[in-house]
This record gives sequence, C-alpha cells and structure tokens, in this order.
Amino acid sequence: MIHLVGPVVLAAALAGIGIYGLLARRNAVLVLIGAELLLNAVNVLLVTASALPAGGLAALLQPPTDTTLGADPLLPGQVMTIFVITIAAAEIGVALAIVLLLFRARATSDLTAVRELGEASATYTETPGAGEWPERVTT
Amino acid sequence: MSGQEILFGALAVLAVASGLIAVTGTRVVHCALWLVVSLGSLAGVYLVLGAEVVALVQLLVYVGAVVVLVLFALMLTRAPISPSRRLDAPPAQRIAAAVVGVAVAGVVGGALMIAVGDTAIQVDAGRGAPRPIATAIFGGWVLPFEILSVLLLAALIAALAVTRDRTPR
Repeated sequence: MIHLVGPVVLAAALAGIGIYGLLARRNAVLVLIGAELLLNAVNVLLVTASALPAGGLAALLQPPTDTTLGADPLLPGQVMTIFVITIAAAEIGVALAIVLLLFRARATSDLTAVRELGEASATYTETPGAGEWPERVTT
Repeated sequence: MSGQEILFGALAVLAVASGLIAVTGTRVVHCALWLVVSLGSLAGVYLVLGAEVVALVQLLVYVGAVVVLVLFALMLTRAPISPSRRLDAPPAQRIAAAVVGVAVAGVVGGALMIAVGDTAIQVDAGRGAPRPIATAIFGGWVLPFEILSVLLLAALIAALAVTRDRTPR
C-alpha cells in the first residue's frame, strides 16, 4: 500500500521547482531544465493516477457493482506518460536548436541580453546562420 | 509505513533535492548532471508505482537523450565551466520567482491533497508490464501514437531547418 500523499507532494514540489527554474534563470539552457522538471511533475501525477483501481477514486471509497468498466480503464495514465515524454523530447530538440541560433546571432545565451527582436536590435543580421561561430562574450 | 513507502520517500527526497540543486547551482555542467540524478530517481519512483515500461522509457529518453542534448547545447554555446553568477537573474527577480514557485507548489499540492490526500492505493506490479502497455498503445491509442511519430519527424526537420548554415555559396 502506498499513501497518495507522497506522489502528490512530490509532484507539487517538482512543479514549484520547475517554475522557479523557469523564472529565476537567465541562461537559456538552464531555463529549459526548469521546463523539464515541470513536465516531470505532470508525469508523476499521470503515473500515480494509473495506479488507481478501475473506476478511479470513486472505486476506492465504494467498489463498483457495475463491472462493465473493464478490467483496467486507468492504464492510459501510463500510455499518456510515454506520450508526454515523447513530446518533451521533441520540444527540447526544437528549443535547443533555437538557443543555438540565438547564440550564433547574438553571441550569447543570456536571455536578459536579448531585449529587442529583429531589426530593432543592435546586433541584428539578415542571415543569422552566416558568418563565423562567435566566441563567448566574456562577462 | 510499508517498505514501498520508505523506498518511495527516499527516491522522492532525492529527486526533489537534486532538482533544487539543478535550478539553483552556479556551474552549468553540474546543473545538467544533477538533472540526471533527479530524472533517474524519478524513474525509480515510477518503478515503485508499478510502471516498469514508463521507468525504462524515462531512463532511455530523458537520462539518455535529453540530458545529452542539453550537455551538447551547453558545449556549443560556450557555457562557462567555472562557477558563474551570471546564470541567475538579479536577486529581486529570484525572490519573486521563489515566491511564485512556492505558491504554485502550495496550490497544486493543496488542491490535490484535498482531493486524494487521505487515500492509499495498492500497487499492482503487473499493470505496467510491457504486454498490457503494448496492448493499450497499439490498440485504442494507435492514432495518437502515429500522430506523435509525425510530430517527432516535424520537430527533427524543424531543428534542422532552424540551425541550417545559411552562408551563401
């Protein structure tokens, strides 16, 4: 037997940590680490939900007399966890590609240094992929 | 307190503590490696909750692929190896971020605690075995599965298109 307080507190703590990482970091790659922790909070809840008996929370309090629910209707919790992991992989691939493009265009991955978009920026170039790979700006 | 609960508690504390270090550390590479510890102990949490396949996918995709991608991005953006203060926002913003983070954790945790706080579940180890998961994915969930494979292909092409070298030849 596992008490549900544990998974719930774990998911809430991971969500809080993820939000902190998203808001308090200025390195773009570290912001993405916060997003990953936030996605994992969702996964913990989905896996926890999939461990509930058929019929969900209501079935815990009152075992269903209606057996048409099927043997295991909450298994989709685990299937959806796998889907969320896949979406997270796709998301971080595209996001890191954008971070690399930002670094090539502006020579920094510091999000507070990128305040203007497009032509308004002093470092705007028509072809961001062109030119030398920039050296890191020493700070 | 059962053995399962003790194991779960230990893994959860490890996941939360290493996650905290990953978002507050001052060395970028160490942060990425603490993320490995956090995601790995979450795989252990999934095992305790009876989701074997999900735990394996977590290890393969997150610990194997995502963290390697993050490390590669850190390398390509010439991230500093030494401790750096410039990774974090100014103190005022960090305090605000901490307040928002604690508030989110409180709201999510509080609402879920009211909903399910006083129940205990029996973990059925056979439920997350490969066979029932495969039956579910390639049964009722086959259409979302196919759409996800198209999404992965689109993400791959998008990443290539975005970072393509556009130097005129």
